[in-house]
Amino acid sequence: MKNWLRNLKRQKLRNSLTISGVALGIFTLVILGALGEHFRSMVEDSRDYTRGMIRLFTKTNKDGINVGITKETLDKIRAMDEVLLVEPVLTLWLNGFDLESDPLGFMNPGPLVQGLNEEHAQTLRAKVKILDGRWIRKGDKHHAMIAEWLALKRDLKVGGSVTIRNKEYKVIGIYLAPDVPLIPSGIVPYKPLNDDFIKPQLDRAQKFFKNMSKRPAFKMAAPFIKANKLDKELSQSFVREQQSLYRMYDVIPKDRSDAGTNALAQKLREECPELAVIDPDGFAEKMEKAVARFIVLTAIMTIISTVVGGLLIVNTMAMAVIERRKEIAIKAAIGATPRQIVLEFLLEAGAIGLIGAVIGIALSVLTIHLAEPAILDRLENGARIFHLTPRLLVLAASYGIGMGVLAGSLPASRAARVDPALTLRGL
Amino acid sequence: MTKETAIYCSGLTKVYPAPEGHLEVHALRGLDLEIKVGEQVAITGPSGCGKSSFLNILGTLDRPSAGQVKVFGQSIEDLNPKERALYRRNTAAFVFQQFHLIPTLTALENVSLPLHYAGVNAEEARERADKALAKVGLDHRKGHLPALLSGGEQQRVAVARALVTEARLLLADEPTGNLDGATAKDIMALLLESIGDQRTLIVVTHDPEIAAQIGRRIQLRDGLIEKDELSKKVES
Repeated sequence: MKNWLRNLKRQKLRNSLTISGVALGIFTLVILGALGEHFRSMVEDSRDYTRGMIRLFTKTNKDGINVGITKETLDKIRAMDEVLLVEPVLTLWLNGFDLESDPLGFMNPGPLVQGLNEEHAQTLRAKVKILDGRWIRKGDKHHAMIAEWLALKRDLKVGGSVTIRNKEYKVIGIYLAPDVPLIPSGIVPYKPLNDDFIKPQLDRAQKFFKNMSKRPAFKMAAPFIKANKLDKELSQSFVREQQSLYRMYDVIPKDRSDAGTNALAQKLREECPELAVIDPDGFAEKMEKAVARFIVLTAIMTIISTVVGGLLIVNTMAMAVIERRKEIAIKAAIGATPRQIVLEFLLEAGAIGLIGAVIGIALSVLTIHLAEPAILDRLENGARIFHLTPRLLVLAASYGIGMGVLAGSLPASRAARVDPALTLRGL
Repeated sequence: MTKETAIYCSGLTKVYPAPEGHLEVHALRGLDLEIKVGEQVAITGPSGCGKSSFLNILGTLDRPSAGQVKVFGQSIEDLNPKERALYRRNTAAFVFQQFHLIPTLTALENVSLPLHYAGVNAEEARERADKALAKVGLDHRKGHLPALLSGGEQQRVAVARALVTEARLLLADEPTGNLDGATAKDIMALLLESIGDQRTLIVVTHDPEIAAQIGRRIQLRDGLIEKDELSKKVES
């Protein structure tokens, strides 16, 4: 060990630059890996959250019409033996929609609030843990449960109030839940949210379409379209499509095992082909698809960074072999086997990789520690961005050592081929 | 009592290939030689007569082009790289003209290095290296790097390194070539005194005074033995 350090000290500048290159590669690996781990945990948390739950959406058919979810369809589903509950869910941006203050809102989604019926909210008890206060119950109106990270960020406490879409709600509970887009940052009773924000808009939209067909200008522009057809199909389809952006239905099966949930989802697909049926596997698959591109990109960037670090080690060790030819020959002359010589260089290259990895890991942990709160303050869309896991840190350290050893193997094998007789003669 | 054979060479030949357009170099041209266990032999002769080539072949740093070499009954001409390394570790030890110490290691670490490669544990290696350094009179300089030692001291460290493994064959290539007269005498005296009668010593030297201190003198010329004689002291 002492000798490795002495060898590292011999070419301080060169070794420092190499270690810096490795550290930079490992820094990139840890930062991007922590993002990847966050996305991976999002997929896993989503899978856990959606277990035993099927979500129904409307979809546009081949004629371009969105038939929506009718009362008859809902009744048919409710009547199925396997079904425990069918409940509407409203999902809205908690802060409302304001492109003036947040023109890139679609790229930077803020916290979400969900409107749930009380019975439905109870089914989530197993998935989110209440930390303070209570769950939504019958009779609640402008009452809200808030995720812990948002409560901490906005200094919200049980008994206090929270502004949701410009309306004041009383905070009745604070819950701990995984930081996943599927899991809302606030849960409120369904009816007031629907009555305050959705129903008036939909009523106005329907009225607009109804009146539009009667306007002379429209009749002149599209005389061949019959007013009643427009009312019944196009306008309702448009409204249903708008609805489906924020209103969906959760179906809770009686048998909430994976097999029971999947069987019910399959039955719903067969019996209600006009609906999009998403089961827990479907959620996970969609989450995986959403993060796959990012993960591939981070993997490519990580590979490039670490390959650069590896090439630096190859260069440094190749130079070391050239400079230490005489030493290698002396060692061979006093009985070092080729394997022992290879091992010495591999250990030295591994030590460079390890030191680079330790520095890279320390820098990345420090950067995440300092930068994450600042980024989250600006974004306000979650509890964290990076997820530093022990396995990521072990992987980074192993990667550093492995890269060092791998990069050192070529120069090390050259070291083992040094001809001691020629070298000691100075040839 | 007849002593066992330490080194047996028959038709030993070494030819160095030459670059295109040049003649090959014939360093040894069918050398026949036998050296007994415990003998001290000086190999002398003009530059290019094959002295160092002979020593390198005996130390397995080089391979003969033809002929047979046996050291303590073991044929060494066809050893693989690992076997050659083990042979250098266990059977033959070198002392070089240029000392050839590792500059980043202290005297003690240099001496214990062959033991490290032999897998001797660190504590035992340190004890044995300590003793070897004490034997060459350098126990007070064991923590010094080679750059802080005089030429004579560096060569003493090299001798200690050669002795520490208790190899039966000691190969010294111009061990006094870089030393002044007085120091050269000291080093030779040290070598001769240290090896005892169970080790075989072969010293390559230009210096007739050094050769005169050694029991058997073999003079080479053009890759062949020109003269092989015993000193008067040994004869008597």
